[in-house]
Amino acid sequence: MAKRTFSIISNCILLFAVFGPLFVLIFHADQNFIFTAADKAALEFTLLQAALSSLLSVLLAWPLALALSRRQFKGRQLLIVALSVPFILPVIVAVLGLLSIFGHSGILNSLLQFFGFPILSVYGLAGVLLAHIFFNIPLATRAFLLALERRPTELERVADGLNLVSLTRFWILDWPIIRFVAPQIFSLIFVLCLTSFAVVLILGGGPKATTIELAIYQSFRFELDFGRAAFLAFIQLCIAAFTCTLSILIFGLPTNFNSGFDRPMRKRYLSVWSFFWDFGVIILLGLFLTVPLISVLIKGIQNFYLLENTIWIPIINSIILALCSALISTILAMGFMNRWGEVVGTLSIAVSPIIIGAGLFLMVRNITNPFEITFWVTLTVNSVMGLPFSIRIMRPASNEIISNFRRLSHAHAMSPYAWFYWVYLPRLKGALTYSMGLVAALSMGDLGVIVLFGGADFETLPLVIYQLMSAYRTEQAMASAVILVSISIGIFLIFDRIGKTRNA
Amino acid sequence: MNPLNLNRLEPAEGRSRHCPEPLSASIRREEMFKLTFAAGLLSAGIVMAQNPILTVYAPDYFTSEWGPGPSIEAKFEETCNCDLVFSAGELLPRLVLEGQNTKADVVIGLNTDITKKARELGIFSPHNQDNSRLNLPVEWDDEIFLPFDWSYVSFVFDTTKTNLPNNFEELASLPENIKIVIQDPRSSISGLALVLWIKQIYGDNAAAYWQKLAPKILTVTKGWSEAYGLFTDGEAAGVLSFTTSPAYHIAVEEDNTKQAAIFKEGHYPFFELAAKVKSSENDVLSSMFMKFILSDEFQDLIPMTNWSYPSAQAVEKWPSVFSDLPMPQSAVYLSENAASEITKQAIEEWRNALSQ
Repeated sequence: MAKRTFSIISNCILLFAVFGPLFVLIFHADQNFIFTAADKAALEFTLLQAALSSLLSVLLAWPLALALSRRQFKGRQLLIVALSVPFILPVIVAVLGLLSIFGHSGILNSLLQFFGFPILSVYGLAGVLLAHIFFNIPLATRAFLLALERRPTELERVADGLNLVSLTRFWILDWPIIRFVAPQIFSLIFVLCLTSFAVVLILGGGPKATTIELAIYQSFRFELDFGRAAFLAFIQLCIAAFTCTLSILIFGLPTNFNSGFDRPMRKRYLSVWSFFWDFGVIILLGLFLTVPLISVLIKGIQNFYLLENTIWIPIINSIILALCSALISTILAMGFMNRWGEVVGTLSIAVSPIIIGAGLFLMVRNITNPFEITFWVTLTVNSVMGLPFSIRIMRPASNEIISNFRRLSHAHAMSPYAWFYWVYLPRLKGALTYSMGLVAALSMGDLGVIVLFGGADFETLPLVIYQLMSAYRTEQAMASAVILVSISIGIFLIFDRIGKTRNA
Repeated sequence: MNPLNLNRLEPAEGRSRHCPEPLSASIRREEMFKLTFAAGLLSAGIVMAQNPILTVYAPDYFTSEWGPGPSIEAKFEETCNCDLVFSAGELLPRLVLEGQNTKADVVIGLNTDITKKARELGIFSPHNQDNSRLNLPVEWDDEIFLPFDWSYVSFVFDTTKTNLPNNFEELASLPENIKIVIQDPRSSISGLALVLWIKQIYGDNAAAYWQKLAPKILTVTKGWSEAYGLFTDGEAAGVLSFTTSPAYHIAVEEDNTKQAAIFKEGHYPFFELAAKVKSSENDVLSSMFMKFILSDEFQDLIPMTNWSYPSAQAVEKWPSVFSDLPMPQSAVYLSENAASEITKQAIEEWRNALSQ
């Protein structure tokens, strides 16, 4: 009963913070429901790149996750954490990192040129996909990895004992996990790519790589045509809703592994061939994901001397914002622990922050001026934006705990609070802290609504990086980005450590 | 679009009821409170005079600690007996959303390319300053918008990588491996300026020129800062920016290798504007601020903080870094009506040419 109430409250909050603003904006402004030829071209490209990006991310993430799950090596944990970094970086910094490898003057092209080959251009659909894969493989890998780690280790032992051939093994052990996790991750990445705009433009090389989000931005900022902006945002929302629903309806079957003894497995015997395969995957994808970051780090660290003392205030602001968003987002997510909750929760990132900001303004303008409560507006938007991540991270874990322990707890006549405190929470802890760590990191790096509705009184670190970039100070911006990443990783690691401590 | 439509759904009396109380009233109440408070604590308290507040909406780059905002605030507060408060963020969308309830007294940082839309909103009042004090490449007779700085749109190159082109044709025929980065005219003001500039020079042949230029364009970015980041990072040899951009590299980094190409055809001037908000109850202060914009105190601060030419100063008063910069021969200027007539077509031509 308490669960139902909580779920209703969470849904209401989401409605108020995301869908409310969109509809308020649609009905407040002049209604301008025109869909031009340029919009159609943009829509086509948007769908193409989003579908390909999410498909490729998921396809590449699976072997990486599998390899990471069955191999232990020095620096594994560090690699897993480093994998989450692209996601946190301010867009332009991450893009500069990527371009230092794949760009026109990047390492790859310098090598090609050195050996007398023609220069390869990354700009175009390939560039867009490259960037989106770079941002999203880590997300998909972590999701698969979490699911693999939750799989009862006894299953593997039995499979080893039965000496199953790899295809049977895949079908029995791996496929149920893919079937469950892949659609969730696919729809999340799809929606993320759907609303991507600055990255798409830079790496797309020009206006053929235009997304709907650009048209929304243009209508809102330049043409002051809020009705059209909201209309386009609504189209985007419908596409996201359709994709999420479809992927869940067709594929989203729950994994039905039974529970094991909840014990970690010590040692496994694997073939030599799989050894080379696993480390091949880890090294290749690992390099792809970490080398751009290393280049960012190098550029940033050598410019540390440029940093000024005033950076402390934005740092503290950002940390507070990140921790609050992480907490709110994770608590809210517990109200969305079913299939439809996941669909609804995902839609929150399908609505652009500018639309949410503008709509929120119209909703509360008779009570207060949201431009004066920047912190609260940003906190709301960041928490809601973190929701789909929290839901996806926690739902599989939550489902398994319920299916594995619910009846046992009933048999013991546990009270709901005892169940929650002694059974549910301790087992959810890993997912819970990962969710908080990720949302905190995301929120750290998010420029979000603050650039549109920010005030001089509340500056965050991403905003400062953006300001530095607009004041010719690229080097200083890179140094600040390294600070941003270090803090994000720090927060992430602290949550990770909390999640690993065993209690109960 | 009429911005007042945003308010149409509200009853007229509702609007006045929610109107914020006059500033003077709120100050009076605060003073009263302070008075009682002080009197309660000390038998003979000294009451601090609360200064009136001047709220200025400005873009982020303007108010940031690297922009002109902080020093302008300090300078103005020396003389005005007031508290200047900058509020950073988007300007026009915010003003439209706030409607009559806006707290803004002055808006600073608008551009010529959106003045038509801004003017049609009807929310600004005349600046009442003497336009003849301005020193601009074009005749300025606008009653509403007052330029506080300006620059020419131009391509800035890394001269260690290429020679500077002297006109648009030379730009399009630079060596194959020399690439430039531009901004998207749909999301960036400088990107829009380039599209209008080329349209004005090439007229009906603009589409053909864009096709010729297309292979030179490495990529298109959302805004100026992304493009300039790509340029300083070495990814591209040239970037769409301003003739004054090299001043930053010379003055701060002592780097003379970044130079703006000066085109024979003339350059598109880019003005940044300030305007008084009609609904402001602080008319005395905002008029003072408009006057301050044209004063030497303000104008002296502009070059080295906003990296552009001051709008109301003779060249002799400019810092030498600026007066030494090469200056385009002529301005290719479009009135806001002329600009708005060709904007749509110019963007469409750009989009088609670069989409192939």
